Order: sequence, then C-alpha cells, then structure tokens
Amino acid sequence: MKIEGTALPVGDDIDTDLIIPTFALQKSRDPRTFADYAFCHTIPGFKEIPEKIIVAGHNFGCGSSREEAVFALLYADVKAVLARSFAPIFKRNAFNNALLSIEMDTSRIKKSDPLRIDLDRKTVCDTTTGEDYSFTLTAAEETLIQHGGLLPMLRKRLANP
Amino acid sequence: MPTLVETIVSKHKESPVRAGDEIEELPVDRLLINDVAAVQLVERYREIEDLLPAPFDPSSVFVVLDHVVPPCDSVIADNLQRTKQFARTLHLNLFKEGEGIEHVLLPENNLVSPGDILLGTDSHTCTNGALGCFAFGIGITDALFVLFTGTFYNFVVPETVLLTCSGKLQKGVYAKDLILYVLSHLDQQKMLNKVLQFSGPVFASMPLDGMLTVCNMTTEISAKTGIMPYETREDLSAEFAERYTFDVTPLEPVVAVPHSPLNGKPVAELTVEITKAFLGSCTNSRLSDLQVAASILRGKKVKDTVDLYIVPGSRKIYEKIQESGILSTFIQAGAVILPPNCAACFGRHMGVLGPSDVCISSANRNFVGRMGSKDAKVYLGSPATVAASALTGMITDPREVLP
Repeated sequence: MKIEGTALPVGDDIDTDLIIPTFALQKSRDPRTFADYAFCHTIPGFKEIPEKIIVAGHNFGCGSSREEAVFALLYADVKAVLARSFAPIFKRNAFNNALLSIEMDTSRIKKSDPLRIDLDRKTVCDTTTGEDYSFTLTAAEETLIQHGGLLPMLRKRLANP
Repeated sequence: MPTLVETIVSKHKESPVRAGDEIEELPVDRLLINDVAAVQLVERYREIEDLLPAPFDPSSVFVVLDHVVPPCDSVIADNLQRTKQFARTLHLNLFKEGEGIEHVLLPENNLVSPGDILLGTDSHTCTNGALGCFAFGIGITDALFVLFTGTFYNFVVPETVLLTCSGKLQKGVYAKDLILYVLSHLDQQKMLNKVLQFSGPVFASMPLDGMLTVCNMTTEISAKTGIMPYETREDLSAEFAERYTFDVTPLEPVVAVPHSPLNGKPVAELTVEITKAFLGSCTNSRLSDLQVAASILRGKKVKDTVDLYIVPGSRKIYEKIQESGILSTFIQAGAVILPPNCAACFGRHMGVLGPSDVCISSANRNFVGRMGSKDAKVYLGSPATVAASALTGMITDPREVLP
C-alpha cells in the first residue's frame, strides 16, 4: 500500500488541545465536525489543505487523552503523521483508528515536500530531496492498520468469543 | 528484581514479566469513564451494540460526570442524559453531576487499591498511582475494548525511571512545587512512555493528598504514569531505565509559566500581574489544598482586580469545608465558590479566560487555549501560591503571606 501527500511541518510538543480545543469537543456528536476545528488556533484553514502529511518533531500529541484529536486529523484529510516521537496515548489512539503514525527523523523534511509512504517496504520517500527513510511498525500496529482499527477487531472478537 | 509495575503486571498475567514484554490481552481491574469521553464512546458503542456485549464487571466500571457539569448548553445537557442512560442500561456505577472530580472520587471512596490495574478515559488517571496501583489514561476505543473484554489489547510492559526525593519540604513549599520542579529538571525525551516511580523519605511522610498531586502531573511529560509504593514494598535493586535523586530541602515555591507545565520557574523570579486565580482541578482541590488556601485568605480580601474561583474536588470535601468554617472564610474573602467539577481547567465553562486574562491556577495544564482564549496566559502553582496571588494581584510567594 502506498500513501502520498504533502509535508506540513508543525514543530515539537504539539498538544491535543492544539489539535482539537475543548470548546469544539461537544459542539456535535458527529465526529466529522472535529475537522472544522483542527489546529484552529495555529493553522487557519487546516482542513482545506489537501492531502497533507503532518511532519512533527518530538512528543506529538502530548496532553489530553481525547481521541477526538485523531478524529479531527482523519476527517481533515490527514494521510499520516510523521514525528520524531509521539506521546503514548495519542499513538495508541491513532493506530486504534488506523491513522498511520510513523516514528522517524523528520528534521530534514521541508514544508510542501511531496512525500510517498510505502507501507510494504516501510519507507518514506521525500521526492524533493530524493531521500528515503525507513521505519518500523510493531506487529500489533500493522494488524490495526490492516483491520481499519481496533473497533472492527473488537467486533470480530465479540462475535466469535 | 521487578519494579512496582512489573510486579503488578506479573500478578495479573500470572507469570513473571519484564519491561519490553508484550502481552496480547492484559487483564484490567477497573475502568473509569468521564462525561466528555463518554460522548464519542457511546456513539462508537452503537456500532457494536447489536452484538449485545456485556461489561466485564459492571461494579468495577465508574462513569463520572465531572468535566462539563452542570451543562452549559443544550447539546451538552443532551450528551449527559445519553451518558446517564448508557451507564444505567449497562448497570455501571454512575457518579452524578456535583459528586466530584473522577481522580478525587476514586481515592476518596477507596475504589482503587494498591496492586490494581486501573484504566481511564482521561490522561490524569495517572493520579491514582499514588495509591500504588498501575493507572494510566486511554482513549475511548481502548476503553470500549476494556469494557467488554476486561482486558487491554496489546500491552507492552513499560520501563521504569526511579525518582528519589530526599530532604524535607520547607514551610510554604508543597507537593505541587516539588512536581513542577522535578518536571522542569527532567529530559522529556527520556521520560516518554516510562513509568515514574517516586521513592524516598519525602513521600513516606507526605499526606496522600500531596502524593496524588505528584502522580497527577506525570502525564505532562508524556510518561506512561507515576507510581508510589503505597502500602506496598518496592525493591530498589530492580532494573530501572534511569535513576535520579532530588534534594527538596532547598526548594522554593515554583510556578510553570506559559505555555507548558514543564516550564517551572522559582516564583521569586516572576513579576506578573494577574486577573484570575483558579483553585481547583484533579491536581489540587482536596481538603488539605483548601485548608492551606483558607489559612492565607482568613480575614483578608481578594484584590479588587482579581476574580478567585474555588472549586472543591468533591461533595464530601465541600461538606467538610462547610462544617469547618473554611467555606465562610472563602466567601468573606470574596471568592466565587463553584460546585465540584473540572470547571475552567477544562476550558469549557465556569471561569473560561478571555484574551487579556492572566491566570494563576492550581491545575495541571497551561497549553495555548487550554482555559479559554488562545491569547490568555496561565501560570501553574500550588494552592498557597494561588491564594497568596489572589490577595496581592501579582504572582506571589506564599511565604510572604502565610501566617
């Protein structure tokens, strides 16, 4: 499987309040509405930026455990998140919703660089610099991506106890 | 020898584990769900409801309505009704509006015990590690999995960092100052996903309220959780990823400046005028926190340029401050008393900040926009620092006003 998108750098220590502020959490029960408020304090028009791949520094997704942060990114057309490191709860929530979150050195990727992720070869190619980055996923992370997240797996487990 | 968390996980798995081991399904004792997380959790539950799943143990699941109660708009009011209905249908323990904050209620009502595994749909579930249990925050999909299987899917045993605190906290310096200081001195990247095990004589003599404050803030450095050897024995010869020692005797009051809880600075270095003072949250809203604040506010008046919000952490604490006269002290000082809930710490109601507000808060987060406007500034300090600052209108070292 291949994923293509454009690099959107966001820096270090992006907390989940920045990704989706509290005032937006209960506007509606429809999770698609979270996309309208994703990064609303710092990146105006975030939702409209097409086919984006977030390129972060350290500790992406720190703070609150709100899974709405992942919903906001998914419904705002974020294809994947690349970061030097992820806060643990965010990373769980991301894979539980099949949002690909790759830990790698992101320091040389520039804004708007076209990126190509090859899930089979486990590489990220920055097509501007031609640089190839390899990454790893745990077996569980691969399983979650393949099944479309934890909910379908829970469904299966409950149906066949 | 195993760490505290390795011991707890080994017991649950019924075989010895070490950091790095992967467990397909980790048995969990208790699950905590709050009103905010419940909204999307109940929506997702609809996708599996046709399978008629049964909760693993309804008596071990706590649904706490604490984040935005009483509701501030009709959508939230509707969400609360749906959450109540969900809890009642599945026979889960429901804490109604006004009972208190989840991480205050569980320890207060002895609903978690040393050696337990507690998971909660709130990052500050780590607070409960002060009771010697393994407690950490999860999202709603993981919570649904726990609710209907009694297990946490694909758990990897985390490494532990040992933080030993020696010495004695001086007058005017509290558990909150200690944890703000420690967080400002640790390398975030080395703490990522680690268990922070707090050890040493400081904690042996610290009241439980303070221990809960310390563990509460471990999530701010993106640790897995915090834990203390409460009524349990720890083995200091265990294999720790790192070991650090702090002497707390020279510690002064600390405040975390905007916009990170890791930005701890000595109060003495700051000259900051405030418009708001917030005393509440799962970090510092317990009886001893309110007692300290009352000792500072007694017979005095909050500065006319400042609004002081005080939010007792639970109905029981509310009752105790009423009985002891502390409530009158607060009212006479000019504080605004709010019912037990997360209030403005969650930034949704009851004291939300505007763009020109500068707030001294006893809570745990000062991220951009956390308490309201993205332009507001939030400083985090101890209840004593909050009370002292409310009197002077400036962020103030509580030692200047403590009786």
